[in-house]
Amino acid sequence: MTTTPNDSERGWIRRNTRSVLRFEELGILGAMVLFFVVGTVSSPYFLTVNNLAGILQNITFLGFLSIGVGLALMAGEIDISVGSVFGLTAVVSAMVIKAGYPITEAAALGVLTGLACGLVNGLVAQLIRVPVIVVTLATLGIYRAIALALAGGSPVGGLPASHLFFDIFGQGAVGQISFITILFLVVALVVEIILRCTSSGFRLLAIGSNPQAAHLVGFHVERTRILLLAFSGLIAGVSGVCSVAYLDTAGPTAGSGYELSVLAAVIIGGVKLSGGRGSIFGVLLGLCVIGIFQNLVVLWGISPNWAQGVSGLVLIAAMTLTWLAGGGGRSTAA
Amino acid sequence: MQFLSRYGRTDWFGPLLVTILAAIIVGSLSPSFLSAFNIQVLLLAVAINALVAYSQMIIIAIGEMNLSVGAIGGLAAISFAGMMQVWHMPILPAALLGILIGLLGGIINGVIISLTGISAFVITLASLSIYKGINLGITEAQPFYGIPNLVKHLGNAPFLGPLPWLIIPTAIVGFGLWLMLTRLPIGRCILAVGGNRHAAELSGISIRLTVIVAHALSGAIAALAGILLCARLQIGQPTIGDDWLILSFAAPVIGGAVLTGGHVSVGATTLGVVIVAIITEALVLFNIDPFLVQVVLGVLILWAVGINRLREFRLKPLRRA
Repeated sequence: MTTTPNDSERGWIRRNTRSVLRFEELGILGAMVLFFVVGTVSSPYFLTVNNLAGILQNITFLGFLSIGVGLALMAGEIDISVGSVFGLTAVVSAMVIKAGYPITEAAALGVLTGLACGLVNGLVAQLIRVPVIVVTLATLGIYRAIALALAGGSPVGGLPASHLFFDIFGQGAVGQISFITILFLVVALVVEIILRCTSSGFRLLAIGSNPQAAHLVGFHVERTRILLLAFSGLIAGVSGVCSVAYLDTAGPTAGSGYELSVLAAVIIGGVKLSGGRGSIFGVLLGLCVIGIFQNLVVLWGISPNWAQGVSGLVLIAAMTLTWLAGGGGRSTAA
Repeated sequence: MQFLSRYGRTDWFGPLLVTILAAIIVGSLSPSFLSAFNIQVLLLAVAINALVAYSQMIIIAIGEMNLSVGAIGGLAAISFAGMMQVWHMPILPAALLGILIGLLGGIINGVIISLTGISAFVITLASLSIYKGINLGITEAQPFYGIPNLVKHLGNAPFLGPLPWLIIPTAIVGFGLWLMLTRLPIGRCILAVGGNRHAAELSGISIRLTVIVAHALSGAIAALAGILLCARLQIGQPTIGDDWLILSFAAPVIGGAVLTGGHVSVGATTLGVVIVAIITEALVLFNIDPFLVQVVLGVLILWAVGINRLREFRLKPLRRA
């Protein structure tokens, strides 16, 4: 600020910076800066355009899933089947393409499959009134097995690589940033605006923080939760279809274990496990932390066999830190 | 009629009916199902899967979830095999150390959960990847082949008719758990904590200690399951335990376990394991895609949870009367 703003102007700035950056997000931003500095110091390859673009590309597919799971978690639900939905939608769209159908139809079918998977999660959870965690645990296995059975256990390859779909979503890029990443960032921005600036976003957080009160006020708790799980499936489908375009192939085991990375990103990103708090901006920061961390594991030459264990450690460390920052004794159990 | 309703309310009655029906149906459709050899194979699967189910059942009893059951089992299995192959350790100390590793893994889970109060689901999800990472880091994803012949023998051979040796540790653990949950103070504490945490705390039960004990037991039993599977496969596979998660929930839930805690049954859980084994076996006998076994297990969980919900509604008025 070069000019000296009057009091009301300064108040406006303070109010808005506060609403853009909450306390938790400042912490994550700090962690991200720390990782960034460590990376820059420890490896000469870290701070290159190629590497940073690579990190961004790596978090894109996870990022789609994280938006869905993050929203579900904010409303007090959870979805751990996203990794399997990702794999299933990729296999479905790749198989439809391979069978010779138009690629737009294949992509649409893939996204619709994701939507159906999410709807099934939500409807089953509400119909038999089981915790959605159990439902998505079961469907985690079911969707994965369907993907494996459809693909016969091996990747679906041999797709025609020269098509507008593959050109745009596979190779298309602005400078170093691929169109898929741009699509992801746009979706994230739109969801964030809806979450922060519309009454729907307010209702979502209200349902997460106190479902009984939200119900008494007249919000449709069940309907919102079903819709959120459907959206989580839908966006996982988008991610799966994009992965087919990007990789020209679809492995039936693609996305297995994603639920861990996604939850890590969402929790590190400051979304409260018991619902009611969080932002997509925080999730984005969490994703960046995960992405930089995974990148450093490679740059430092840590064996990929150990990498999984280290990422688990980081998740526990992040949760413990959030717990300490939140005052220690207060229970954050979901 | 009164007789029927009395048994209808127990946990084991429904699963027992289903078990008998399933055995009759599969046996009549495919006569080889009831051969001595097939029963032996079935019992081998039941022996290991029952331990996997018990390991999860204890955690369900306190109203939590343990996603790291498979990772602990796998870590114990490869430690057991690795200690025998690389360090030439005798069988018994290796097995005991393996179980100790599982116990330790469980204690770590329990301590973090009870100290931070973060949901067990997330903590065990993270520790799953830690234990699995240690497993892959040690083995570099290569199996250990140096299993002594005695272990290989015990892992597959029967000691009496179709009864395999492996059934013995499972039976001991099952009986011990039943004794603990129905007769011993710690078992009652575990069920009390699962049933109503607040009330349990008010009546003087240490929630933290109970949670840690439950997770420690769960880890030790998962480790035993891993070691038995290692003996059964005759090879220390790093992938042991990867597919336990769904199974570990399916059996207790089929056995009427309430997922919010406080109500589990060892006998009914064992019957749940038998049902899952018969169904898996039937899918193999009828040449159904093995990938679909997971679909069936997943649907089975949802179906059983649905039935349990129904039973809760039906039985509540009966109990009050």
